[in-house]
Amino acid sequence: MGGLTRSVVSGYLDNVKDQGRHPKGHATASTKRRSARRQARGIEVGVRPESDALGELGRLEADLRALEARRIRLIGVAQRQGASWDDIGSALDVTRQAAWEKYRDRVRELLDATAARSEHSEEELAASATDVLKEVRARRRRP
Amino acid sequence: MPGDAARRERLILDAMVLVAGLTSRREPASYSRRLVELALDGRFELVVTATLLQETYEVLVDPKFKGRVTEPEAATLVGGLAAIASIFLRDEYAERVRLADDPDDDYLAHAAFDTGSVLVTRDEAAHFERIEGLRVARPGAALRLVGGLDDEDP
Repeated sequence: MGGLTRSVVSGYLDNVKDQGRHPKGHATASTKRRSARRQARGIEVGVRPESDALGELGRLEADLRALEARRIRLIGVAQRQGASWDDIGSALDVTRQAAWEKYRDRVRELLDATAARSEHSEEELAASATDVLKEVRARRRRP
Repeated sequence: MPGDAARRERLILDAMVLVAGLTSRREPASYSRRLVELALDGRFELVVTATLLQETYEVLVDPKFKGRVTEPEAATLVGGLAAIASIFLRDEYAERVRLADDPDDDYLAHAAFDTGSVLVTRDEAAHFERIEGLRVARPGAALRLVGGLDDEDP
């Protein structure tokens, strides 16, 4: 099962890497050399002067967050398929401890955010969730 | 990932405990939230099942739920719980002996028995306590069990 997980997560990571490549596929050697020369001369690469850099940064941040959410979902899938944390850490090229800490910290960050904006006590939320859960279960039973 | 898992208590937090813990404001009586935070600290082994996470996700994003979060947030919270859970069970209880009065709760009772876990629940505690041999606790009692509640706490 570890191999399957590795292939799922590695395939996903490969796709992520591919998104940053040349539109027609791989960046050519000459393109890379040109970029290196321009970078050496202090010329920005990949951002046209007239482009909306702040807008691009905002979109990039949103993309990164979406990718992070997808990665977390994939880890859940990998666990459902029987992957251990050693398998997941290996697929992500990090140690088991680091993988666990990374996702723990991401959840903790979101927990802090929900606590900061929440106006409801646990009692209120549990009361609200009771009816919703009944509906969720009724939906699941329907053919 | 914390070591000595064999010596840690195993807990299943039911969907009501999870959604309250994931979305409530932080206050002294937020026992469910504190349980979720202790799970993140590795103070006990969090046991989850696919059905439990699915139910939790669907409540979190439901427009009628007061603590509703966005779908990406719910995916991260629930996916993250799946990722940090020590044990992730598939739900294969259809052919098994009925344990709980409510068939919808049966998977939780089976999961708790199978893993030797304490089932942490709020309003359903009395209902589960009727099942012989099942370890059931309300959030406050569960917190005390894992050393997360002081005598001064409410």
